Amino acid sequence: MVNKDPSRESQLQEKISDLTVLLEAELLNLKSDHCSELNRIKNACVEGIELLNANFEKQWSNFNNLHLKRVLAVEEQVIYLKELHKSQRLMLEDYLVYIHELENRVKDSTSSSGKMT
Amino acid sequence: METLKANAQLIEKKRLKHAAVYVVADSPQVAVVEALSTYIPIDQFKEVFNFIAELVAKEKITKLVFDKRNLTVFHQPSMEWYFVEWKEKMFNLGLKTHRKILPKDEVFRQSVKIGREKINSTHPNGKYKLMDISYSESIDQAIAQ
Repeated sequence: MVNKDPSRESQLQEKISDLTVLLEAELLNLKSDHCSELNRIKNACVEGIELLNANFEKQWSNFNNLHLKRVLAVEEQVIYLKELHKSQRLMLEDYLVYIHELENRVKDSTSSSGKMT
Repeated sequence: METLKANAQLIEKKRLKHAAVYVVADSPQVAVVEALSTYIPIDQFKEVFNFIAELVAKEKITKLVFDKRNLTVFHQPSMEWYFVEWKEKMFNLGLKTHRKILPKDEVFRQSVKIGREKINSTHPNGKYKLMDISYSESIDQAIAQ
């Protein structure tokens, strides 16, 4: 036999309703905490990534500058060595002209001394 | 490579990769130019001597010591510009005494001789002929002489 006391049933219904409200409020709280925790984690991750990115960009820029400096130094050295090579060649040519002049002087002096004898 | 940088009687005025310019502390009318490498490219050579020209005009330099002891390669076009153009202008500004310190290297010394003969034959009336130019064996001798 089922107890069909209407006041008890309404009490129960009311209690269930209160509990449902409480449960919903708790669920809402949980959801909001979870969201803020997720946001916190997301922000921390974004900050970390931004920091890593900035560090990477800085290192990349430093490396690029260093590389550029080395390339320029090598280019400068190549230009210097080319000019040095040209100058040495010029020096050698002047030496050859000088040697030819000396040879001609020797030839002239031997031919003139030959004529005299 | 030896350098005059540590020489206490010299005040550095300009330093480039291949040459440096000083004035003598006790004799501010004397300037010293020092070759810092085995060869001075012509652009830098002109830059250094154009700087000396400014110094000659501003600080009334009357004597220049050119320390070539680190050089091994002689560049005739640079020397021609130095003798014919630069020295001509400097003569008019009052720089008439030149002292040079050559390296021990005989090849370089002979090149200087050949170069001078070439300049003498192509520019027989240059003002450099009116200047007091001689060679010294050390920086102290060059400054005092």
